[in-house]
Amino acid sequence: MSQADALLEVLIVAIAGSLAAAVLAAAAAMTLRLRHLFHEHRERQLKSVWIPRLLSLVVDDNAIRCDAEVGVFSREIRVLSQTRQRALLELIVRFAFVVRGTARTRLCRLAEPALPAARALLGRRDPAMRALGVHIVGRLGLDRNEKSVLRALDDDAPLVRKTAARALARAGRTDYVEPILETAANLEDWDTSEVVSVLQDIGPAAQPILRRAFSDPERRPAARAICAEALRWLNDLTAAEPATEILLRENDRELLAASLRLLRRVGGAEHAPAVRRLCTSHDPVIRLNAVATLAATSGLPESPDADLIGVALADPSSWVAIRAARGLREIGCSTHLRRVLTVGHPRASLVRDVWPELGTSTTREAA
Amino acid sequence: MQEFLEAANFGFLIYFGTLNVSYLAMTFIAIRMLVSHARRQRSFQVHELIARESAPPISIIAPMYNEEATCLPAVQSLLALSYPHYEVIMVNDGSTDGTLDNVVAAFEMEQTARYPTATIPCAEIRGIYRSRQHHNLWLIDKENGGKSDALNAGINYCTKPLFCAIDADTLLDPDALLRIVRPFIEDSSTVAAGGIIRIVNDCPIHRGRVAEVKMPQNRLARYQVLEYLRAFLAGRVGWDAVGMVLIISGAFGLFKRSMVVEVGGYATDTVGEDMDLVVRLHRHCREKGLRYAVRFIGDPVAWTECPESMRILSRQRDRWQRGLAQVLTRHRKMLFNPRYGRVGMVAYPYFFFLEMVGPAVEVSGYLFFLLALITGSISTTHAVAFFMVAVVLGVVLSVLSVVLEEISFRRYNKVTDLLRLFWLAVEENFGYRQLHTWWRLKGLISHLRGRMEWGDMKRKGFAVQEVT
Repeated sequence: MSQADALLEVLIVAIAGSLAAAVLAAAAAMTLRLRHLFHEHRERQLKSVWIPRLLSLVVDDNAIRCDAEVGVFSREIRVLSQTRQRALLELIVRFAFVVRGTARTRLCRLAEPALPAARALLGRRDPAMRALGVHIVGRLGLDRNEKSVLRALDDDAPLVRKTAARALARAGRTDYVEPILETAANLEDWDTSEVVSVLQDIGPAAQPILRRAFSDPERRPAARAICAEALRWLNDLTAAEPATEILLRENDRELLAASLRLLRRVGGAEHAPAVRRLCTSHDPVIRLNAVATLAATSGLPESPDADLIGVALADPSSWVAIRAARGLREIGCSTHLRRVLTVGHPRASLVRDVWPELGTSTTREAA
Repeated sequence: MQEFLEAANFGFLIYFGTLNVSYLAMTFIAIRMLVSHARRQRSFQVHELIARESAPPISIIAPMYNEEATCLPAVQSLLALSYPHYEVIMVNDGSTDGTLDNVVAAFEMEQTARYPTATIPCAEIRGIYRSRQHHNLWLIDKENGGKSDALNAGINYCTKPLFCAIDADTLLDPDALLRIVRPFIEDSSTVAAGGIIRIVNDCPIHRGRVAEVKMPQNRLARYQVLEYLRAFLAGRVGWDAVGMVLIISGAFGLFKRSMVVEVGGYATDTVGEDMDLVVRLHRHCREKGLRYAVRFIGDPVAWTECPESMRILSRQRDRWQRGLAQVLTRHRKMLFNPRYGRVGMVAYPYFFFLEMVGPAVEVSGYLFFLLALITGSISTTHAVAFFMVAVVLGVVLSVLSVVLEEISFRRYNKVTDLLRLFWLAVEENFGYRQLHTWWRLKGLISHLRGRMEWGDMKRKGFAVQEVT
């Protein structure tokens, strides 16, 4: 066989192979579509049967009737295949996210016979499936599966750890605060506000533990900053004292900024001295938060703090200057702002531009 | 001569093989990713984010230049998004038609002031407006300076930690922001994320939302549907899986404001400003040793109108290729430079040799094959067989991109649409692909000649498709 013939043979094989691959791919796409249509049909069926039942369970006030219904429905669930049970759990979990109290307890009881199907997901190789398992078990059967969910906090996949933390937080139990904080500390990439929103899910009962962790100098500053943010969102008035202490003793940027934000929400005039000295910090992030907090805590236009905030108007960072302008406006110090406009202050244009944002009725006043 | 032709043809074969193997590899990686993504969606309640205070605030920046046909539904669509904290900053880049007047009148905008938080150079600002109807709607009116300049103006007035850059003629799905913000929440080192662009031609629009996804009537637009599926679902999902996303479409991307300000905003001296920004973010973070991530997310959708005429499509592709070439030659320092990690060692060479130089190699390949055929170096049978291999491999890749769509999002609901996509996968190989290569080659030549202009892009407009 000549070289040309051999090449032609290779080309023909390549064409045939590619054609077969194209046909297979098209068949795969069609199969996927048919599978999807089938699933959609099954889901519609499932919903048409179960949504009215679930709705009646969550709205019915008659406990005896509901208990009887849960018993009947549970028997039906037991005989479903594992796939159908899982699909049903995914439907129940959606309801369980929007109801509380008795209604949720009923949903949990209803889901109980199907939970082994969700627990089976916890051992799967795919992190997405493990996360789904934690998500369902955490919402519908945490009491009986607490250990599995706590174990998921140490999972290799961050997705599973985060899902577990959220699931535990939703239970609202304070004994989960520490494990969640530990998980958050080990997941450096997890967005702080997201961690805080998880802690916030636990509710006001978490405040004492968060306060202790916030004041604990042995902890990493990042974890303490998270506690400060969570306390701020929970409006913990008693956190003002430890926050003031931190302002006086610590020097980590994130921790100081978070403590200042906390004080801005829960602090008062008695905390202003600790804030004042940070208005001249070399770090613009600290200055910005200090100026904003000072405006919130000192409160009176005639106080010397107004002058300090006024000085921040000339800050080299425009973010600090904007905060200062807003701060002056907050404490009702319009005269100071007007003076800036008239004496050719370097930040006159900033004040003029920020003025309408500050809630003044017309821009004419600034002009 | 004969030996030279044989050697050249062998070279083209190697190129062809490398190109197709890399496309196939990307597609298979994408299949894995999309299967995993579909599973993850089951434990993620997207609407739960709406109620969370943790969702980071976002400024949407939409530059407009002579967009009177599409600007109103586009603004409406932006105001109808589901997201807890966001504002919309429309930037009128010195439009010469009724764009400014339309928006000002329709949304009762009044002149106000707003202090800039960054000082990226941009053309003069003529005025800032705020809507009386919607307090989160702002309009910056400025002298014409181009799209990048308008985006820079928007960034200068942006006060939120994240900004979303979109084209004013783009319609976002209502939950697009909730979905695209996810990588920023899950990984605080994320600096940029891009969403998928889909084609809106002939889809009915109702109150700024795509009411029904339909396949376009126009043949050219249909080819582009398939092309976008290939580019986004196979290409970008694949690159995202290996952490080497080099392009985030200018039509829809979410960025960390502080990082973009740090790199100096969008470059105004290129037509590939979207890619340039992403490449500069990579460069900056790698040079400074920062931990960072640039992501592509497949489920947040931005709908855009694609060209339906050859003339406009050729201009668009010419511009895209010029932009790609400008960016890749500008940052050539990254090419095979280990300092830039896998971006410099894998992604950059791929884009440089296969995407940028690709059209020139492809057209030369056609010519050399023709020459070889004329001189008798290869037989007609061989030439036809080579062509068939190229066509069938192209079909495989296109059909696989349809498989990706079926695994993941299934936006085209009708089975007839699916069958149409299969047919298009075959049909596009006879004419459209060759034309596409030619337009890209023209773009490459334009780049070498130093051409800079954008070329006009006439829009049909969404309004004519409004559902009553």
